[in-house]
Amino acid sequence: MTERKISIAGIPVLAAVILLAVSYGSVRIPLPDIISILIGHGEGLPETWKLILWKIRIPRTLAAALVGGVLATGGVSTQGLFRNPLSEPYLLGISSGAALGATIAIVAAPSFGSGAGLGVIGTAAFLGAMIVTFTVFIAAGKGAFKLPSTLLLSGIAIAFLCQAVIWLIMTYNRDQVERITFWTLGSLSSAGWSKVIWLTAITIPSTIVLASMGRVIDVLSTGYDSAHGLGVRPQRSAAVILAFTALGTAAAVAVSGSIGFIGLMVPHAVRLLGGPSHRKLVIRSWFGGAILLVLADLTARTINPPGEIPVGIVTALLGAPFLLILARGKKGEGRLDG
Amino acid sequence: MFSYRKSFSLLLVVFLLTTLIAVLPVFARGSDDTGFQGAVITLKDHFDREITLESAAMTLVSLSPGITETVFALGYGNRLLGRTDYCDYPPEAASVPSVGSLTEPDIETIVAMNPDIVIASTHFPKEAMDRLVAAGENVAVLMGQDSFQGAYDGVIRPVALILGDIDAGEVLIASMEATVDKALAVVAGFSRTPSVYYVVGFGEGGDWTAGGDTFISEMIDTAGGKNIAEDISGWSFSLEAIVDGDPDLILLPGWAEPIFKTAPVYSDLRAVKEGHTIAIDENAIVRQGPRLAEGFAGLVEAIGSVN
Amino acid sequence: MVKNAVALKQVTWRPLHGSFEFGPVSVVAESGKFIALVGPNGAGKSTLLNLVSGILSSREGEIEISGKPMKERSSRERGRLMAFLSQDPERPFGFPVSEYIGLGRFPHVGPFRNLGKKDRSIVDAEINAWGLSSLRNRSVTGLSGGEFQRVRLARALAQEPRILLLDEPGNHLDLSSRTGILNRLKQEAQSGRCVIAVLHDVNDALLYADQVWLVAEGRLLHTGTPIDVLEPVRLAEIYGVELVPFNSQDGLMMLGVPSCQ
Repeated sequence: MTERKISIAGIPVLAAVILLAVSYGSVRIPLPDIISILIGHGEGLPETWKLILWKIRIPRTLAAALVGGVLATGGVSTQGLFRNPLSEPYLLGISSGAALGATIAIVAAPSFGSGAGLGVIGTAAFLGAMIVTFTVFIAAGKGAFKLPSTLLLSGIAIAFLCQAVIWLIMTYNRDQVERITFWTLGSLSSAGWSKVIWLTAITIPSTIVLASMGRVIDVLSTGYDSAHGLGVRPQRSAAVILAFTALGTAAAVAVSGSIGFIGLMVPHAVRLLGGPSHRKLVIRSWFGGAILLVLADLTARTINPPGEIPVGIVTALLGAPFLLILARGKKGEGRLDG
Repeated sequence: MFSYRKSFSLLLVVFLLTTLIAVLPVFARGSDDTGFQGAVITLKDHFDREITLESAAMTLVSLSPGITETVFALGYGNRLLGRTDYCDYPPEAASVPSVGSLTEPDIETIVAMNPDIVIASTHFPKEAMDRLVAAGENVAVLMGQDSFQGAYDGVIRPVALILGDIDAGEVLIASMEATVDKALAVVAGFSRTPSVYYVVGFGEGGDWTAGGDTFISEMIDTAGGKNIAEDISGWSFSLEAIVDGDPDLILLPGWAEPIFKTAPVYSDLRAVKEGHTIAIDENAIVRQGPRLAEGFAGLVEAIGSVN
Repeated sequence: MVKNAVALKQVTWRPLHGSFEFGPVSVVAESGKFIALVGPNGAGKSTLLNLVSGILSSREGEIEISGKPMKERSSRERGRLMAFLSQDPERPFGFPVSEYIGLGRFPHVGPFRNLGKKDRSIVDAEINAWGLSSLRNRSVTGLSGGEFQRVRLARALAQEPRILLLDEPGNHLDLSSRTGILNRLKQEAQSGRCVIAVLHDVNDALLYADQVWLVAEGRLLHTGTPIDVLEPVRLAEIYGVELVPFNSQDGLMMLGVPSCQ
């Protein structure tokens, strides 16, 4: 019964957290005024406040929710598919591919590309992510969907390769090193409405597909032969799951850089609260990831106003102790499986 | 007979010996140009190092754009053997061969050029300095305080001294002071103090500006404007703060202007809508050198346009 | 109930790499029979089982499941008809026993529906039948080898399959667990299911199986009742080990290896 409560609680909690995030920023706007602007009764209030609310805070917070949600669902599907509690979607080479694409864009087009849609850097990052992920699948060969470890190894190898190329590019472009590093650390500072629309178009369908395949992920996690015996087609299903995971994650990384730990942490946290069945795990993790990233982003931009620290730092600082607590288990005996 | 203790002690001894050997050079003082009788030019650089030259430097390598500009402005560009990739002004500087970047100058090239002196300024890494000194080169690091006086006393005067032409330095400084005075007079006639936002960086990399503790902010203030970021220290700002600050005027580097004016949210700023964005040459403001005065004058002109 | 639960007609197979040739094999497995697949290592027993389950596709020949060719059955249908227990089990982390067994209902429930009352009662029945009530909420990763094997069998039976395919179900288990499993499998066969199990121990085959299929070097050498097929001389040839038969009071034959001299 607690399980059902947790599922339903997701929506109001997320809504509350979004309202909270939208109420705070480097500029102080009192809450009653925020609410008036939101419901449309904002006459007499400064235009700049409306601009800040509608064009900066709201799209950014929504982007945070969408990115956090899809990263968490990516964590669920990769952990289930690879049967590895340490998996996260970046293992498929997505974040290295995106970083490589972004690096090339930053170096080739030094002017800040915050244009319509994704912008130059975002588009390059998305393309980079998809191309590298595709390469990972091809490089893994025929065994890509037969054995999870094949794909993981391929992903790790190609990630190292991408990283080497990135370092090489950095060596010959010292003046852009800072920009490249900041992008990699992850930040939502450039998230506007066009990015929100783009994110919604890609990550919501991806999450819905993954949620509907939740039980299939359960079955696959018992082993491919066993899954076959239960009437699932393991390779085909794995391919579909991974493809949608890659798509959603690539979209997220293209907008926000590689924000770490969410894909790893959130599924475990949600499992602790409500059990491992993937069907519900996917949706719950989406909410968990969305809530977490909205709060992390809020922290990142209000902790040192008017400056911002990259949100990837906040998630890492949260994630590391959490993971340790998880690993030690309830009585310090060590377990990672709830 | 193999003994853990013996082999471990041997390892320890080897380790200590190698450490000692690696550390020794620190204790050896490189023979420098000390004690030249009758040294004509002596000065202390920014790090209080004594620089001595037998006579005026006839050949030099500049490791800073500000220094390069100063040398040319004083009329001695022909004495430059080498410059950095970033030394892009005046146009004549292009004909001087480059010795690498600001932070990674090519030591071998510089040594092969055999200049009388190497002059560096900001961003000069200590590593490069040590290597040049070890190779027997004269190195002076010239920087001034972040102010006009700092540019005069910390950069222009010492460079003129090194070149053996103090007068040229005074002439340059006088002309700079005149420009500044003229600009200040214009400021005195301003009817109001417009709010200004100075763009260092914007967009996906975050918003960067000149905080209240920077020289740029001071200059904006002196030029008759009010920097909306004057309450912050450092360079980190946020888009929200820009919107809230609602500046009357936005100053940007030239390459940024077209992108800024069409970028989402930035294009909604009142200053952009009213057409009050002005591209300025940030190098004239940021580099400690001869163009500081005209950079300041440019600021005054820009601020005057919204007056 | 179709008489021939499984039928293989001239089935051959070979791997992508290597020279192992399997088949041609033609044989039928009747419903209500417990069939033991026996033979030395690498003989092709697992291959045969994998071909029947559909994990491997035959190169030539046809495989019929419950009267219809395998190719004409969708994977969901297959899952409803056949349950497969592989040799090396994977343990998903974070799964409690009851949920794991519940996965057995997947072919019937599908990816979207919740488990209904009927499904839950089937799962509960299996939990009780295998003595797993005290382990309901334990994570499968924390179970012993024997406990997990029982859980897997419970899951397989929760599928309500007409055909049970098991690859060495007694692996890693002590005598009492193995005996319990083999007894249960015999019961399942008697109630109409077709059970095909790879058994390592020929004695188990002698005691429990209705039929024995003797596999060696990729060919089906012999099929028939255990006593017919498991002749000491024939086995000695195949295994390269001398065997001695003896009778117990029940009249069953047990083959033992003579002691070292």
